[in-house]
Amino acid sequence: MNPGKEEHAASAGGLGFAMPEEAERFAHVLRLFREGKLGEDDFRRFRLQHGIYSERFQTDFGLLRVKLPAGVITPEQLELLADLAEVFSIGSLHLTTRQNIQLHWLLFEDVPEILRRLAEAGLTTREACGNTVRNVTCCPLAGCCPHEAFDVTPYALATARYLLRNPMNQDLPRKFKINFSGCGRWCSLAPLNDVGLVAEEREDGGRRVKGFRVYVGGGLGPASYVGGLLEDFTPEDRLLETVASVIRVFDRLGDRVKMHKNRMRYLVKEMGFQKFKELVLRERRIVQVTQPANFRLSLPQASSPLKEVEESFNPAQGVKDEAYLRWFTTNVTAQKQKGYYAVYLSTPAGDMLAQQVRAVAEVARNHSEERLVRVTPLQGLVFRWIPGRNVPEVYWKLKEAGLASPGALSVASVVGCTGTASCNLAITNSHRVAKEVRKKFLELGLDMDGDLKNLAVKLSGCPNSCGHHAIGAVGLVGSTQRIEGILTPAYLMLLGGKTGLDARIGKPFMRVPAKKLPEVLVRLFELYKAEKAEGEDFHNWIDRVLRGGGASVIKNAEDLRRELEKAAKLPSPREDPKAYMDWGSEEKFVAKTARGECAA
Amino acid sequence: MSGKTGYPHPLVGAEWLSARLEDPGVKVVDARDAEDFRRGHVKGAVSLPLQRILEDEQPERVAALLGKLGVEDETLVVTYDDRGGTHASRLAWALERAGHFKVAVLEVEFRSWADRGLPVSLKKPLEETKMHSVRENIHIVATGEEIREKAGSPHMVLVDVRSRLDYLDGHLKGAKTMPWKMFAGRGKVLAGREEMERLIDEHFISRDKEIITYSSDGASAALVFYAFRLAGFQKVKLYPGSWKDLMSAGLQVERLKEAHYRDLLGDISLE
Ligand code: SF4
Repeated sequence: MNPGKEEHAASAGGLGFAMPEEAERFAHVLRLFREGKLGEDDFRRFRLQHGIYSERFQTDFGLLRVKLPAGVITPEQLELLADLAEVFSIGSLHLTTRQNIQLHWLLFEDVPEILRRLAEAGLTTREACGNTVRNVTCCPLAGCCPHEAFDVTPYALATARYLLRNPMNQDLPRKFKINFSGCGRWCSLAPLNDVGLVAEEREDGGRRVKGFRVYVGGGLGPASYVGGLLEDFTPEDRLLETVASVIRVFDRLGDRVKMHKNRMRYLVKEMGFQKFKELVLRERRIVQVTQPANFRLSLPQASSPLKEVEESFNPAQGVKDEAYLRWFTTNVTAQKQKGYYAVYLSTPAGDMLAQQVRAVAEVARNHSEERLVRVTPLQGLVFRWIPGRNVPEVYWKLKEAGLASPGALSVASVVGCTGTASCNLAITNSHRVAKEVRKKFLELGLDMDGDLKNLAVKLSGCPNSCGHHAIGAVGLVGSTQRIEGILTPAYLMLLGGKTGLDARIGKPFMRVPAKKLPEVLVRLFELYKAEKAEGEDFHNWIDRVLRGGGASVIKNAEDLRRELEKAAKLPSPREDPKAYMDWGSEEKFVAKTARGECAA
Repeated sequence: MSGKTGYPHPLVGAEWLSARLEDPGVKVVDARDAEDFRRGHVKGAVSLPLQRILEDEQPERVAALLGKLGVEDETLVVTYDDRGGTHASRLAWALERAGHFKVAVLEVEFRSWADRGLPVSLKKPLEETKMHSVRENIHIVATGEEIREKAGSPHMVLVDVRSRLDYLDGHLKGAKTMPWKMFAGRGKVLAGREEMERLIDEHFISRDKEIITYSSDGASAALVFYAFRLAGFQKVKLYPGSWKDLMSAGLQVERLKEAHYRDLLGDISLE
């Protein structure tokens, strides 16, 4: 290995994951394909391996997914992406639920040049798609969260680095997802990944040992599962070999034939969790005795300032500006380090204009003491290490760029996959409707409602679940409904979904026509507010109603459905033909899909 | 000064030019607005805002304007702007069209010339009228008529240099999308020859093709006109009008059907 060459952009604090040769290789393979020397399928496999999907129903246009391990990105990298978006794309960037950033509507022909420029900045698209280990995600607040056992960022980065371009990870039966969480509270996504690692510290012979609770076999999709516990404590020095063992078992035994059953969770299900666990632990012994000498966890240095500020400054004290206070309450949290704040930024379903991305880079550079930004699984961003006295300034800067909308840490932080705006598999325009729902919630001020605080509304355009609908407090999945004899875009509403270690998959409840979705959701929350017992959270209320134990008006599921159906009622097609079309469309709705490449 | 195409090299470097500011065979022409010119310009430059040329591009008029600025047939004209080279290119192209063959674009914008501390002046230059002949060069002009006739020809490539979003919203049938900004170099209005060749090769356009560029304003397409020249193309033409002009020429437009790319553009309340 040639360290100088391999490690690009070392200035990014060990965040360089690029390999410039890959741009040249892409150019070469694209040429072979265009000259007819390489088949369609081979080219598809190759481009997916390099982070390139095709756009919905397009043969020449694609999207490019920049893989950001742990969701971390530098201001310089953001500026580059903004430039690329303006030059090669439609002037916007898309943040994904796996903490990646995408550029849409590129020509495949543009890709080599883009990869070259990305590589110079240390960015890669390698294994962002395809049957590989996808982006290793972690808590966006890792290192700063008051609840975490310890900062999982270095472990996420080390795992990502170990697996990236690793031969073991080039041709798996299907994609493979890894998440690190700092603790098991409600926001943890660990049990919803193929491998989920939850930080824990233990006492061992008077020594504090760092390690993880390891969950395996979880995942979201047409059938979603919550993972099972592989080990309740895996010490950090066995992290990589444990992850590798799971991957090896999956690689060997996973289904490579039935497209719809080849995620690892089906394998686990089929053979039974106990048997799978035994296989993995046995595999680990083999990995241990055969591992090369350099197979060690090498943790990148934490770049965080890791100090506390002396002065304590309350960024809300004495401020009268209501817009600011609303933003502060719903977008800013105190870090565990006294005097520092984390400032969240919510986006309409993950989209940002190039100009706005430049403003984000500026803010990170000038106001965050770690000079970094993280992408969140809610398709937003977070600036960390903002000293309290800088918070108002950050607000004004974001406001100038149209980025200070409130509600990032509220029910208004609505997640929506790209849907028919980009994805071959989409049935509905889940992307646009997510924006409509968010807009409605913000107009009504639902973001300020404490009862709705940690509720997530999540939308996917089809059952593949890229919008994480299965774990939304309210999940919505694109579908159709025949109303008045007309095929109408609709959403299947799921209730009861939950993240955290007690994660739960939502259960189908009812269908709602797309155009009525914002109203129906608002009505649902109204009913909850009116009917809940003192201090009862939404999850408990839903459980109670579904069990038939509701009070006054809404006694059971039937009552709830009946009430919501009132809000879901469409005007007649004569009165309003558009009510039967999808959001953002002026045409009669048709449910059309093409071969999936599985985009998020 | 002569590139491998037989055309003069379309770009000159800042250092190269700064060493020749006193050379009577070189005339620097500022394509920016008259107001910008007054606030400071390359030392010794004369002002010819692109807008003035566009009012009427008849070769006779252009040649007369050149003469008035003291440009003779053999003078090397170097143009510059602060628009990423698009206005300077469009101006250079207009001169070529009027038969002034010896023309090049300054590799950097005025801003960066000034930032480097190269000679700048506020003085109104002395303009001494010279004679300039007229030799209209029609080989670099593409008309709507011509585009219509050559549509679908395997020998011609139509290059749409507008933004990707504009392209998706509607483009001339068969046009390739190459947004003009992708040809820019680092701090330079165009990337170097090798990068340019690579970029064009990677878009699978071969040297034997005739190239016609068009843009929304006619100016950015002129920059790309020079990009193709720089990459060694012999037959390059510019459609000098705007996208609107193209539309009124009644050319066939292609659009993407059922593509909701606009829904990826940020906040809906911004619409
Ligand atoms: S495959 Fe994923 S991105 Fe596409 S519509 Fe379905 S959930 Fe959305």
